[in-house]
Amino acid sequence: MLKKSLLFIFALVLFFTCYHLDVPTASAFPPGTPSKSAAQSQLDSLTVESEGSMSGYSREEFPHWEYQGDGCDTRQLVLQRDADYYSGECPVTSGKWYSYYDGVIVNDPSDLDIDHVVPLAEAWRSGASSWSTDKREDFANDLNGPQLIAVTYSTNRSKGDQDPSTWQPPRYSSHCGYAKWWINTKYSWDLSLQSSEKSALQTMLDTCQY
Amino acid sequence: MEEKSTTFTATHGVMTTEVGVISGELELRTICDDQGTLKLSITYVGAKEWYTLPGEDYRLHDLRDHEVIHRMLATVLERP
Repeated sequence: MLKKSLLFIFALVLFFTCYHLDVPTASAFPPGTPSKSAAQSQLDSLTVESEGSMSGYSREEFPHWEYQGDGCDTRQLVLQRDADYYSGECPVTSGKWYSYYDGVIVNDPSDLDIDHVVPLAEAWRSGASSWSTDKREDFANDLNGPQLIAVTYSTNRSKGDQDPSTWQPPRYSSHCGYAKWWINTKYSWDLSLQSSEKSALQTMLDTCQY
Repeated sequence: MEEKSTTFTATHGVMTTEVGVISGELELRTICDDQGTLKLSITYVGAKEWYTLPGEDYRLHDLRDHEVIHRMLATVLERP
């Protein structure tokens, strides 16, 4: 009897271990994610000011998706990077993705959007309106930092141009990563933030363990 | 053809067909043609591109209703 229940517990542990490994697989983690303490000091150093106007804005001011060679554009490269596995080169035709914001598993790339973690419109009113078009193009196609991530089309649409004071990912356990990516992007690109945005980011960053 | 325009604030944003939710200082434009067909569009105040509000084929049976429909929409979309 004892043996049986031990075996059962062992099986249970094994199950949860595998289950745990299976869910995040964490390939959907963009590069340049800072540690909690690094993100904290970046957040503390950002300039707090009210948002600029949207005068002159259009998406064309941020050319994307840029051609990256070998028949691939930025969108396709992010799809490949964030996939657990995929088939087709450019375009990617199918595969498996874990949408970090809502925890949904996606197999059809047309259900995915590449989210600009700091939205283009949000960047415009936080400092990017004074940049050159070339610099805005680099920002919109930034593969070096944590600014691009493949997530479900529906979460990307509901997010739109909002900052963390009015929109946060529906999956609570993604708040830590989301805050780190947002902070790091604003820091790397020297964009300002508002006080409501800063306090929302602080709350989210506080959920991080490391 | 009659065009009406109102600016308002939507802190929590308004859903658009092209780019999802947009927020901040926005401008709503409604255009009603002589047959009563209504076109709804929205932009950031001062921006260079317009977006569509979801839904289409709205038709007024009395052109005089354009005014009240426009005001109602602008009031409902405002979320300071």
